[in-house]
Amino acid sequence: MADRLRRLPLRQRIRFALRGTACFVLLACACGTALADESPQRARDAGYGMALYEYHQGNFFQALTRLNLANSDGGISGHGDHPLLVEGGLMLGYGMTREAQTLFQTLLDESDVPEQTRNQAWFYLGKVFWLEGDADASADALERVDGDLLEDTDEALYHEWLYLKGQWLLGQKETAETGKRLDDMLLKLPEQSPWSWYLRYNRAVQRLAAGDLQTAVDGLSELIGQAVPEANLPPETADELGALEQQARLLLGRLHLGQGDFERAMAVLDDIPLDGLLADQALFDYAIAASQKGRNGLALQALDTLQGRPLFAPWLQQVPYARAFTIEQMNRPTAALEAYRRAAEHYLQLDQRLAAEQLNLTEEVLVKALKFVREGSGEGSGEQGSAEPSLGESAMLTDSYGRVQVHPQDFSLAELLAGEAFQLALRDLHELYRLDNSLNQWRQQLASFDGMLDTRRSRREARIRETREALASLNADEWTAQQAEFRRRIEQATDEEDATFFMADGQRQLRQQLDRVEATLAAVPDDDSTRKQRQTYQRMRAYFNWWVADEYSVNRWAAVRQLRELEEAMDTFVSQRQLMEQEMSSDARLDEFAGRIASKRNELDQVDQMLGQALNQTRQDLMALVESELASQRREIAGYLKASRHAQARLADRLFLKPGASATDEPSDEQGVESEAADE
Amino acid sequence: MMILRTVQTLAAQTVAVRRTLCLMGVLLLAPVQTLAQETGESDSEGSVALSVEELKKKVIRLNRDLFILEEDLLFPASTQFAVFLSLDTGKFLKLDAVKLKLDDDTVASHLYTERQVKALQRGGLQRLHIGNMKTGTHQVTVFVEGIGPDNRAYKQAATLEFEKGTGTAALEVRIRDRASDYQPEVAIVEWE
Repeated sequence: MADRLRRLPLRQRIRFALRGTACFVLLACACGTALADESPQRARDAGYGMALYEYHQGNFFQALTRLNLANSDGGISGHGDHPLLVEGGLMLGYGMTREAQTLFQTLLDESDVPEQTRNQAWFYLGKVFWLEGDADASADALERVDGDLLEDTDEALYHEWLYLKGQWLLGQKETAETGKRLDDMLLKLPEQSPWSWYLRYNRAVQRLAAGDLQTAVDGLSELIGQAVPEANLPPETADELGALEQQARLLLGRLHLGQGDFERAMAVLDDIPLDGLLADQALFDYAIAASQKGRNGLALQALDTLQGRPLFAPWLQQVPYARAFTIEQMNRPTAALEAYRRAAEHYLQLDQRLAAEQLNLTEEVLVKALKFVREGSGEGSGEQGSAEPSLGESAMLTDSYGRVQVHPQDFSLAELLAGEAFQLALRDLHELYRLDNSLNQWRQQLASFDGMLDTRRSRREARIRETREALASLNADEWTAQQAEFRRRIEQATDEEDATFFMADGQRQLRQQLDRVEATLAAVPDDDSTRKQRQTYQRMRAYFNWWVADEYSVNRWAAVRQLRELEEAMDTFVSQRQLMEQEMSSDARLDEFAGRIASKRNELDQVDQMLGQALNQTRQDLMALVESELASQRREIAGYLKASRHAQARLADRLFLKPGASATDEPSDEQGVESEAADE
Repeated sequence: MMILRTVQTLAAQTVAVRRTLCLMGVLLLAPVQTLAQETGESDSEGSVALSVEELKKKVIRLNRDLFILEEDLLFPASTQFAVFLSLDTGKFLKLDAVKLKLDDDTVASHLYTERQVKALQRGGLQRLHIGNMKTGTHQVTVFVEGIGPDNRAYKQAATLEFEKGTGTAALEVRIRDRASDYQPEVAIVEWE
């Protein structure tokens, strides 16, 4: 019981953390609202939009990756500094508080940040410090927040800001000044706001810690007096306020109990619903109050109710002893002796079980003792046929801060499970297993990239082969040789001024005709009959020679031009061929990809190593917590066992010395309780 | 006197009641003890948390690089084609499923969970499809199914013919509420 009370501030912090994240979600909506004109919800940057899609599904890791991608791809445009606030919120949600702190500080160091964003950044920075337990730094950051501006920007954040400031004030020594400031803050919070309830409750606890019992009682009474039926509360806060009211009643009941005001204690505890979260504690305290009021019948009834339930939490293990003690107080020694004997047996068995658990404690055993909740299924959905998820599975239901939703299957872990340290260690273990799964996936991905590159390489080689064959069939070298021969002959003809070499097609035809005529004339007798033809031929030959000489420069220029065109075409062909050869000989692009893949594989190995170390450390931490819890429970059980055996011995002696007090004279348990209850 | 003796006996003999009677003392010490416990644990927790945080940072960077590598390998910028889906408010449509066709081939189909719909309603953008596409004219068609106004089954299709150039192409399937007739509206637009 004391342990449970000691844990209250931790629970409040968890609750606070949960609510904090809810506000981050609201913040993300506000970002869109503030920036868009026509369509307020629409992302203007694809990378940012994809990050928001993951973020709002609670996939913090993917969302952070998307933001990183967007930032590395030229940054996010059209959303101002809001993506930074969202990134900070994501980091907080993903358990990267130090990174979030750096991010908010960087944002605040920038000069051109809009006032609203700066105001929110101060708020979140204060919250980061608060989560890290640095109350002074948190107060300093929260002091810089402009409350009015925050209220205008986001009322939910404004309420949370008031709560955080109030919590800081509660951590200070209470003076008239701090008391007044806290009153002012409470006045600014709506009466039925959970923040207001947390502050009032914590204030009562603080006063109790300062020894001001009566003021604490007054504060809690006032708080309970403000409670309204759950049906009249907004649905989103009804459960939370209902649970807070029960918690306040339980504490107030215990305070009345401590003050010896058993009647009031019973009255306050009586209003805690029997099916509520705190029903067991309330029943037990009620039993104590009733017992001390001398109404043992009621006390036994309450304890019997508890005994009838599974003794799930370790603190409930005191019930068998308390029940036996109450029976003894009802002056029924024989029944009490039997109850003590049963209690001792129970404690002995329990101790043996805990000892065995301690001895065989492994991570596997621990995981088996926990029941994880699958995403998309309600409480206890495991019974509905869906397979229970295991650590590291993305289907595991987690809260906004990555803590896994888990129920104990083994009562000895129930208390431990409610503790912050265990929750955080379990969260880390889950997250590390998730990373391990991701690493395995990435390894497969890199292997598939390798396969892809191999395929590309073989396809490329096949193409190169085809290209080489095609080039070979073109006789490209022969073309080059011919081109060189053309050049040589043209240059030689130019040097020799060989006009016939540069003759045009028409001139060549004419020369062939003249040559044929000349040959014909050479075959016929050179006499008068052929003289005229010979003269004509001579005139034609002379004209032809003159014509060729006259056209020499034009013809030569035409030939050189053709040669130049040919050379240009050949140059293009040669350079393209060289490029192709180069491309065929080197694998630059594929090599670059292969290099990147190899580099990522190295990084993966490094991360794998780090992950292994972190996993070991987290496992050890978790095991150490469980070990210590089991040892502490065994110590406690040993106390109950000893007390039960002492009582057994004492009662046995008493019965032995007073043989008249036999079992047959006593009513049975049920009869006794019924008659006592009827008396009440 | 009897009650007093009972209380005294309770306090002396039972652990349970002893703890109850010690309640006040425990309460007074509670915050101090909690603080003391936390301070003692904070060093080792801090170092583990730090290494886990460092690990997370590295893993996020690695995941980012792998995303880039995958895109570079599979979807080069010159042929890359992506289709996004956005849902603006979604008051008149409870989105159930979407099917995307590219030149008569179904390239993507998606059934939405409640969380995905909420994420879209809150400004999220879903990349419905990423692939490669030749330059030239192409036709994209989207079929949207869900529950429309008055809880009636709703189906609508939208088509866009567009020219793919040599750069990256991106389209957006935009589903939004049309206030004029209280009906949802589905359109495919080029991503700006």
